[in-house]
This record gives sequence, structure tokens and C-alpha cells, in this order.
Amino acid sequence: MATVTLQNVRKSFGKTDVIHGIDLDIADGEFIVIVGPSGCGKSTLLRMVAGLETVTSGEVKIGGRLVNDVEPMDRDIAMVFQNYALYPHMSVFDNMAYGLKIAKTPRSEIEERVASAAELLQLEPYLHRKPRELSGGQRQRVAMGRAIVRKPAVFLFDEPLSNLDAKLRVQMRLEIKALQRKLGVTALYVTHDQVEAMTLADRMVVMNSGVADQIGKPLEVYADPQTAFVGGFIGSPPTNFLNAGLIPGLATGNTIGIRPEHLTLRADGRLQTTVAYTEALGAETLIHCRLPDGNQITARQDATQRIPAEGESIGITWNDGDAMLFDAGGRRTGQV
Amino acid sequence: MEKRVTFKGIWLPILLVLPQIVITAVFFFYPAGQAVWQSLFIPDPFGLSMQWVGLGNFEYLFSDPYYRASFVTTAVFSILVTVVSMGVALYLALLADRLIKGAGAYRTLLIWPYAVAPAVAGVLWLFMFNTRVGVVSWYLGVLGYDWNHVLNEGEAMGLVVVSSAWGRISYNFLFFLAGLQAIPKSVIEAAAIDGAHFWTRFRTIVFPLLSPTTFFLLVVNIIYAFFETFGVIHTITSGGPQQATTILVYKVFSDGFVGQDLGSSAAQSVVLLFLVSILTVVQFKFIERRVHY
Repeated sequence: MATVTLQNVRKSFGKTDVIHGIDLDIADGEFIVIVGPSGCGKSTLLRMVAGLETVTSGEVKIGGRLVNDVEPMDRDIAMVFQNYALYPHMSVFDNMAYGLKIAKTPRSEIEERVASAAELLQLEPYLHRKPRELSGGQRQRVAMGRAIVRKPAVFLFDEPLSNLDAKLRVQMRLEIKALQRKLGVTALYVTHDQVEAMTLADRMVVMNSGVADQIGKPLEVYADPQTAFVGGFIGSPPTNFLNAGLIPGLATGNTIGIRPEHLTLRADGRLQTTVAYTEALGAETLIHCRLPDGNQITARQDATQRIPAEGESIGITWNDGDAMLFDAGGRRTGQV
Repeated sequence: MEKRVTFKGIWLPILLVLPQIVITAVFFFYPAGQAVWQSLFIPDPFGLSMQWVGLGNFEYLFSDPYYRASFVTTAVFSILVTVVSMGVALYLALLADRLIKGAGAYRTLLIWPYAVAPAVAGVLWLFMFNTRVGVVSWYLGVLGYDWNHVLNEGEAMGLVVVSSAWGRISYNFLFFLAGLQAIPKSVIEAAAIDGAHFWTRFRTIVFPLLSPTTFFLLVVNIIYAFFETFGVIHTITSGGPQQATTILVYKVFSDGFVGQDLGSSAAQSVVLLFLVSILTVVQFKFIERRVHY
């Protein structure tokens, strides 16, 4: 168990800058999720912590030790890959025991540690199977088992759930969370899925084009996004962005963001809209309305409320405190 | 899951495989049948009549010490060619796989020797090692080593092995490189994080995952060493000195076409046919089981 510290970490591939200086302090036992769209540099950042990519400048410290030039194997980390990266020619047991065998751990201890990991992950019946004889979820568990048996100081997860179907993903998400809590190991988890980020993270890092736009607890980030990008990326359906010029008293050029759940449909709203189409999801209904300027805006309401007909003309309104104001550069400037 | 293409009629599939069947029949079944037939006869010196001798040709063959020696020569030659060409190719492929800059040029250069015909390759090596005018043998002479593969049996074997293996390295290199690049990078990275250094990774991960490629190349290379090195041996040593490089295939040629002993030559062909069938069965039955696909 250890802390992880990143100080002004940068990465360039040739002349292309991929990561533009990231600072991050991870406490011992903390679960940090790095979330962002594809190509934002989140995996590269994780691979730099793992030692699979060199650090162009800045410092990476694990447990207070500078590890910039330390080989992956000497960093006391374990990594779970997106495609699991299991050794296809080895049984589940050998996959999990591989690292321990290389470390020349005594046979009895290897068996004990693999057995307890297998028990934890319900893999006992499969120990003698090859990876190709396992389902996606089981392979995922083996990859986790391989990480656990080595008792690393830090777990690194590189989009571990992306290859699973939706239902299994939700289940494994809970298992990863429970496992991390139980073992108390510091974890760094990369995903493009904001729901995974919201549910797993103690703190999350929202990355955008190589910059950490915001670092904070999930609900704080959700409630108080510092940039328009974060507001738009976190939350589903995403935040609605309106040209501030539509609202009397606000300067054009700025943008206001309002989350769908903060919009209310009323005959006498602040803005007049036309209902484009509606999506009734059971517990809630999403209502997509078209603004006079052609932009679309989405409101979310409980299933108990009346669902307006498509094509109906309706007003839309919100509380002042729920509207977030962003300047032309996408920076948050306050409430309206 | 059934993934086979199924045809409705019988005529289209027959038509599609017909060219291959015809080629196999004309160039394989017919000559093989002829060899089996001829191996049971001794023709007279003028080729006007044939005398039935049953298995006489075979009895004579296996009591011939030169023929038995040729077996050993073939085994030594094939093993050396296979090991040298595959070993060097694997080493080069490992290096090329790690290369980032100039990988294309490096690969192209390594593939070139494959384009050289075996007989031409033989002549090239013969020139370099020619006992009187060869560049290499001259430098060896400067270093105090008297190279003479015309007289020295070991040197003759060494030279035909090297020149046979040389052209083969390119071919093996291509397959090994493709095999290496088919191994997911993340598997190698996972092993690196698990604490395995380069050679440990090679031994425990890379080599086992390459085993389908290795197995395939093993079969192909042994068959190459058995049958396709004729040109190299013919141009460099003509089987000499003292039959030190007369492999079985070369002996078929030299006994049959040079010595005009067609009955014995045919019998040798049948023995080879038999040997290859056994080799193929053994390889597929026993070695394949240890291969991880």
C-alpha cells in the first residue's frame, strides 16, 4: 500500500505533446478514476505510472520514491489490461502464479496465495482451465486474480470492463469496488465511461486533451463542474448548453449549462420550445425540445408527470441557482 | 459452429479441385508409381529389357555401406540446416521486432536472399570459399587457416549447410516476425510487470506462443533440407569429398543418372517416399500435441 504522486507530468511522442503537465496526489488506499474521451491521454498517463511509457518531464512517485527510471517490475504495481492480457498457453493457476514463480516464492506460499485469490474471485472451479475456455467475465476475474496474488502497493486498471457486456459490466464494477475496499490497496482506474467513474471513484480526474480539467469527489464534480467540458462529459444525458444571449441580462458569447433534471416544463417558461421527441424510460422520461434558434435541449422528468405530445409548444424553466455560467473559453465563471 | 461452405451440386466442387488433382496425379502419383514399379526390376545396360528381381534392389541397397552412410549424412545435414536457419532467423526476428526506426529497410534486406535460386546461392558461396580464388578462403589463409572443402569432409559439410541455410533464413525470418507481431503487446507488458526480464519472457511467454510457427517451420525446413538442397550440393560439392555430402536425394540422382543404375535409384526413391510419410505422420501425431494453438 502506498501513495502515488504525480508532479507536473508531461508526455510527448516526438513533437506531439500528449500530456500537458498533470499534478495529482493519491492518498494511501484511495480509489482514483481517470475519466475522459478516447485520445485524451488517460491511458498514457496510467502507462507512465506503470512504467510502460517513459516520462518526458515531471516526477512520478510511488510510496514517496521517485520511479521515473524504475522498471515496471520494480515499481510494486499490478495492472489489469483492457484485453486482460492473460497468458494464453497457461492455466488459470499458472497465470496467477507466474509473477510469484519469477519472484522465486516458495511453492507452498504460491499455492496458498493463488488459492485465496481464487476463493475471493470465485475462480476455484476453473484453476486448471486455459483462458480460452473461460467466459469474458471469468477472464476478467483471472486478470484481477493475477494482480491480487502479487500483493502490490498500487493497482492499475486500464479500461478493464470495456470488453464486457452491459450487465456484466455493472456486476464487475461492484465487485472491483468491493475488492478494493476489502484489500485497501491504492487504485488508479482509467475509463471512458462516466458512470463507472461516478460509481467507483473516491476522487475522479476528468481529462480533456492531455489536461486534467478537474479533480474531485464525483458528486462535487457533478454538481460543480469547473469547465464546460466537464459539465458536458459527466452526467447522462449531458448538460444542456445554451447561448447566454438568449437570456435577458446576460452577455452573448458566454454559455450557460443546465442539467436535464433541473429543467421543468411549464406553460409559462423562460424559453418557449417545441417538443421534438420524447423517450419514456420507465422511471423517468427524457424530453428533447427544440429552441427557437434550432438548438436542442433535453429535460428529464419523473414518470409520474405528464408526457407532452411531440410537436407540442411548451415553455421551459429552471432555478437561477442551477444554471452554470461558462465564459467563451469554456471556464466556469459562476452561477447566473 | 459450422463454418464450412456447402455446395448444392457435386460438379462445381469437382471442377474446383480438378486442377490440383490433375497436377498431383501427373507430377506425383504417376512418377511415384513408376518409381515403385521400376524398383522391382533391373534394366539391361541398353534399356531394351527389364529383369524382375523382386526386392533384390532393396536387399542390395541396405547391404551397401555407402547407402547407410548416406542416411547419417542426411540426418546430420538436415538437422544442421534446420537448426542454423531457424535459430538465426528467430534471433534476427527478435531484434527486428524490437526495432522502431528503419524496421522496413531492415526487413527488406533480410528478405532478399530468399529471392536467390538455390543453385545461384550455391555458386555464390562456392566463389567466396573457392580454394584458389575465394575471398573468404583467402582471408582464412591470411589468418593461418588452410580452407579446402574439396578435400576436407567437415569443411565441405559446413559449406553446404551454411549455403543451404542462408537462403532459408529469410523465409523463416518472415514467419517468425509475423508470429512475434501476432503476440499481443499487452501480454508482453503484463509479463514485464510480473517481473520477467527479456530472456525470461522469451522462454516462458514468447517462445511457447510462437510454437505453432516453430512447428510449421520445422516441418517445412526438414522437407527443404531433404529435397530442395539438391541444387546447392550439386554446384558446391557434387556430393563429395568421398560422398561426405551425398544426402539421400543426391544419391538418387548420382546413382540413377550418373551411375545409370536405374533400379537402385528407383528403390532409393521408394525408400525416401516411405521415409517422408513416416516423418510426416510422426510430426503431426506427436509433436503437434505439445503445441499451443
